[in-house]
Amino acid sequence: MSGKGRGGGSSNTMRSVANALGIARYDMAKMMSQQKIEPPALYPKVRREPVPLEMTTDMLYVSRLKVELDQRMRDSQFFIEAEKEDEIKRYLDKYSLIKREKLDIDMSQMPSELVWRRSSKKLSEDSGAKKRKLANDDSLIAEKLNKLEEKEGQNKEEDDEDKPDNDNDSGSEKSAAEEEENPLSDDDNQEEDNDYISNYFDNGEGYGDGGSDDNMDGDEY
Amino acid sequence: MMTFRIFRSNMGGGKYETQMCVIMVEDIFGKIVAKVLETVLKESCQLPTLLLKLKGQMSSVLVKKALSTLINFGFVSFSLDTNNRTTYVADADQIQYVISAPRACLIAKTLHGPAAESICVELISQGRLTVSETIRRIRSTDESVEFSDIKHSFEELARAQFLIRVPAVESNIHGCPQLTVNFNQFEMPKNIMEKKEPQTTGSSSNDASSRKRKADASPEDMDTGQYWRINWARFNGYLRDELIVDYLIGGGSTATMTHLNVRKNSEEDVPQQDRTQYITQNVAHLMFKSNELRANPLSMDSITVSITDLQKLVRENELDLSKPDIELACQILVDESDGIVRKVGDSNGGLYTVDIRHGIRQICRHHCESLIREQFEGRAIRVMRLLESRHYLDEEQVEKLSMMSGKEAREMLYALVEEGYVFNKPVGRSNDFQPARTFYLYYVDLPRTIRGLVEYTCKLVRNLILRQRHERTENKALLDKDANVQPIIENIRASDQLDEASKLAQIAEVEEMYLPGPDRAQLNRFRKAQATLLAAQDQSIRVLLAFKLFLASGQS
Repeated sequence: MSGKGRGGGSSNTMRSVANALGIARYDMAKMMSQQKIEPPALYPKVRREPVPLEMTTDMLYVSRLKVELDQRMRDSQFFIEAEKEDEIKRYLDKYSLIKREKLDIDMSQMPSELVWRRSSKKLSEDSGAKKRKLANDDSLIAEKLNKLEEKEGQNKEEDDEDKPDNDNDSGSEKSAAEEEENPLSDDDNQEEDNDYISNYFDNGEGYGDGGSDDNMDGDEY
Repeated sequence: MMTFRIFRSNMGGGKYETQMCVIMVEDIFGKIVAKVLETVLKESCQLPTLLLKLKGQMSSVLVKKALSTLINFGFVSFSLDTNNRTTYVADADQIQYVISAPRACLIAKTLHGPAAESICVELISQGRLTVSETIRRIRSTDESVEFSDIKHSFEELARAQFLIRVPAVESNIHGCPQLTVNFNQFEMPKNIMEKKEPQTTGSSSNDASSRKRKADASPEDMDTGQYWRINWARFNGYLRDELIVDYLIGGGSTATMTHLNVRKNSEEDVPQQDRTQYITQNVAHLMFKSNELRANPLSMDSITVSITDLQKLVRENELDLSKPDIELACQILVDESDGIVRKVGDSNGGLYTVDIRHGIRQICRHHCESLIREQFEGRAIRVMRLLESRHYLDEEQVEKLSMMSGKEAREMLYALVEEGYVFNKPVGRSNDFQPARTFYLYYVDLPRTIRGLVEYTCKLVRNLILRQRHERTENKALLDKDANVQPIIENIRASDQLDEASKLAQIAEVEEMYLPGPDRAQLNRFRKAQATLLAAQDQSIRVLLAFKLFLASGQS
């Protein structure tokens, strides 16, 4: 009895749902057969043509300015690209290369952890150079050499990280070649050599932003 | 629902909004910055976390560079959290200004002249600049611009609050700069004029001596470190006023607010039949102008103006409007604006109020209805309006009140429910919600619909940008060719030896040689498509602004 009631109830429910939804019995069968399993089309046909966009003069102006602004942004220093190291160097590369300014942001406005150029270290090195200028005694030379050797070791380690960045920034092979030549030419002078290399690696960090010149001056004492 | 909304606004937006922002940034700053932004957008985090998340994808130097760039443009901000770590938070709303940037330039140009436009262009493309740097940059591209002109435009823009100062760094706690809070955000540095002299001498001395660092040259500027940026909130406030005026006057998509300035010069030749249109337009503009410099540019408070105020503004703006004109215009606005403009009193010759909230709501409704018209047909709007005025209605009631057949009404309602314009609420007579004993009441919930439409619009903008990029890459070869041809043509034009006819002949020859007919046709097609895509972006972002303002106003 109870089972029968339930069965009747369910078919009743079915019918009343269909009724509530306004589906007649024959419609139901048709719908079941029409059921689709595949997802709807990615680009369904638009039922009504959209109203065409009216191009007024200021809209034309805005679109033209937008093209210009976008291009400017893409050519600016802020468009950051990863360096392509492993790729084969092609002759035509330098023609397709867009010349960008070096990324130069006022880091005093930024959290210090974001400084990628280690400018603080460079400053301390500069003051170190000044100190050396003042105390030009023979007694200090040995100590100085030791220190410089230590520093050189450190610099080498740190430079590994920065090196690719520099290559990217300088861009041309020519400057890289220069960099390689210079240390060799000074090779015979031991003290100068040491001093030079440490300074040179200094340069390497901020290559191209003029800070290098200061350090070069420091060499000439 | 309120809490939900607050939560949402903190989260910054849905899936498509994030995607849209990332695509926008990718379009202008490249993949690396976009990747960093995406990571920060998904979850605000500290630098070590960010580095960890991006490990293997890019070097730490690149992450730092990208993050600095994003901060420079205001897309990401930073603050110290309770554990004294610097946390980076991305601001999706800021990023959307990439699209409205040209519109801002246009506004600056129409209101304050071409020099103001170049200031905006420089500030937009550099993120932030000091006054001296801005002037130097503009002068480097265009020598003919006078220093005083640029300075004057800058002052004007700052006075109109279109530019704002970046807060200066006060101190540095745990490596995170603390910004000053209390300062005049629109105060021009006093030393610009004095700056000019040392600047020129400074640069020459620098050239003479061994090349010093760039930083060494800038101490010559008296305003070093006093950065300015575009005050986007102000521009958005202006756009909002423009949207409402557009809605009131029905001026279409033309920049109506700017007519105020354009018309000033060509007042004599206003045709008589357009006189009514002209005065209502101007009075509507003046109503907004009276409240232009509000504390919060996007505040939703109503604007109240009196006839006397309007008369004063008419005199200030040298418009040709008499008192009866103003009264007539106010009357027309009150009658025709669906309650956006209302008369609230008789003091000062008549007191009128512009209900911003109501205006924004009407604009959103208008967009909703036009979408429905596009997707369905006129009768769907009838159903929608009916539900809006009568709130909860049963299927049968809708059928009778909208004078449609049962089947039609039902199908219409289901379609509307499916697209999210109408919602239904089952009210059961018994606890089991048995369909036979349940009423299905249909109703309209505009904020809910609009929230859906915000996502929809973001998706639209994203697709527009992607499509435009696709078109650009497709036609890259053609564009390069064209870029090569243009200088040649310019040369021919500039040469003195040739007369006009032979110049034209030569230009045609060169064009034919480099860009044969089909190529040129393709190029033109691309240009046209690009213009349409960009204009569509501009319009969509305006609509998006209206939607967002509506949601922010928190009306239901």
